[in-house]
Formats: sequence, structure tokens, C-alpha cells
Amino acid sequence: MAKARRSLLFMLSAVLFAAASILTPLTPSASSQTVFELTGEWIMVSTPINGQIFSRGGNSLGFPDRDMVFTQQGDIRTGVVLREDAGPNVRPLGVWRVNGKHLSATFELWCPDPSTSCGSVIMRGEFVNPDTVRGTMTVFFDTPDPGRPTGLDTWVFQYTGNRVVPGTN
Amino acid sequence: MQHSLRFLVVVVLFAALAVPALADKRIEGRWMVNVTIPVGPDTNTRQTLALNFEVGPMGDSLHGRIVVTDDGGRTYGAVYRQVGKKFSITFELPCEGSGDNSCGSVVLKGKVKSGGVRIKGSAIVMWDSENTQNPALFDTSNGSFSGDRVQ
Repeated sequence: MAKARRSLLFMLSAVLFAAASILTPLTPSASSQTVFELTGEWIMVSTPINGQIFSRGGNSLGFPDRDMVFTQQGDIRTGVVLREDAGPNVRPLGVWRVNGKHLSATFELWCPDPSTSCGSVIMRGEFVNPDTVRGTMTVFFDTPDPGRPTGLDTWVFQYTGNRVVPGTN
Repeated sequence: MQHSLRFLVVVVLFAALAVPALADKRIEGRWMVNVTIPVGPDTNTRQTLALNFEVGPMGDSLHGRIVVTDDGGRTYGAVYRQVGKKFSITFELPCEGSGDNSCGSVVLKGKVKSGGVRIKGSAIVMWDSENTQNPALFDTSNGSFSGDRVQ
């Protein structure tokens, strides 16, 4: 009788273990469930990498906090930098994409003076959590630099961004 | 009197011809553009992307928007700036997901040519693959592009 009960318990355990094994892979983990959203307003704080304040060609964007708004209308994903420090209508435009926790955005610089060097910025990074991003920005200035792989003066810096909670800005 | 009238006619004719010529320098409008770039980082195999650009006006801004449609029917956004004949366009390549070797960002730098009906220039791709040896911190490739205005 005791032997039969032990066999029954063993069988039950085996069935439960098998059921758990089958069900576990079907239950997504918390991290794989997270869908990161870039849409909204963000404040990006930038800092130099290894003390590089200027590019090799002497170009720089400085390190102002950047107020960015990312929107999506259908397949068109647009980014706008609100440069109210430079003027009420200064709004450099960009486009963006998000793949999993990785983000990429490209912007054109705003250059009202054609005699100064302009350029394009590529922003790469990842979500630390749904409201925090961090990564690097690469600036390809229009100034030629034959020593760079792209042939353009290139400068990089790092950034951390925090989502602006509506009503707090 | 007759001399002044003749001068006025010449000025008016010159202005009538000059204004459209200046306007044609703007890339606003529809373009068929071929962008030739490598298929990915660390390869010499090249691909040519056939893209339709619907370039919006800059208006009072220094920047404008572009709706790009590729030969696969995918639609995505791009942005541009233009000063005189020179312009720069940036967009994100559409890709299937992170880890996809075809993921990258594209910068097109070029000039308007042939009286405003042709554009031509160089392309830069910054791929998603990190590369600490590259000054851009990611792999980069160079390419070219050319395009014709669609009437």
C-alpha cells in the first residue's frame, strides 16, 4: 500500500514537472514583454568622451541640454529638437527608429550662417528603462577630413536622456 | 522714351527667366533616386536602392521633410537641409530588427545639377555594428547617389 502511494506520488511529481517544463517557455519573461517607446519629449544631457570637446577639425556643438520631441504618424517617425535657447523657431528635424531596446535617430544640424560648418548627427543608444536612454552621438561635419573613413570631420560625445513627464516641464 | 521702354522689357524678361532658374535649385518636388552602398559592414558587395523621394518645402525653416518609398513599397521619413545648390539628406534604413546587418543610418550630401533636374553626390552609411576603432564608434561605409526629378 505504501509502495503504491509512493508510486502515485512519484507519478504526480513527474506529471507536474513535465507540465511546468512545457508551460515555462510559453510564459514570456518580464524583460521580453517590455516594448520601449521613444515617442514623447526627452531631455538629453550630453558629456564629452575622453575629453573630446572639439573634433579634429576644430568643430563642436558644445554640450547644451537638448529638448527633443519624437512623434510617429503612420510609418513616418519624426524628431524635433526644441532649440528655444537659440530662437523660438529653431527646430532641427530628424527621423528615428527603435529595434527592441536599441534606438537610432538622425538629425540635420541647424546652420543659419552658411559660412560656418554644418553637418549631420546620428544618435545611437539603448533604453536603460522605459523612461531613460543613453548612448552616443556621432556628428559628421561637412568639413572634409581625408584622414577619416567617411572623408568628413567626425566628432562623438555621449548622452543620457530622461523622458519628460507631461505637466512637469 | 523708347530706349527706357526697351530697357524695361529686357529687365522684365531677365527677371522672368531668372526666377524659375533660382527656384529650380530647390530640391522640393518628386525625385527618383538611386543610392549605391554596400549591403552591410565589412563587405565590398554593393546594392543599389531605388528610392522615390517626395520632398516637402522648407518654408520659413532651414529644414524640410521627405517621404521615401522604396522598391519594396515601404514608406519612411527623411529630413533635409539645403543652402544654394548644396543639400544634405538623412534617413534611417528600414530593417527587420536589432542584430540585422542591414540596419543603419544614411547621410546623402550632394548638389543640384543640370538646371535643377538632377541631383548627385556621396552617401555615408553608419551601420548598427559597434566599432571602437572607427572615429564614428560604429562601422561606416561610403557610397554614391544620383537622382532625376520626376515631372
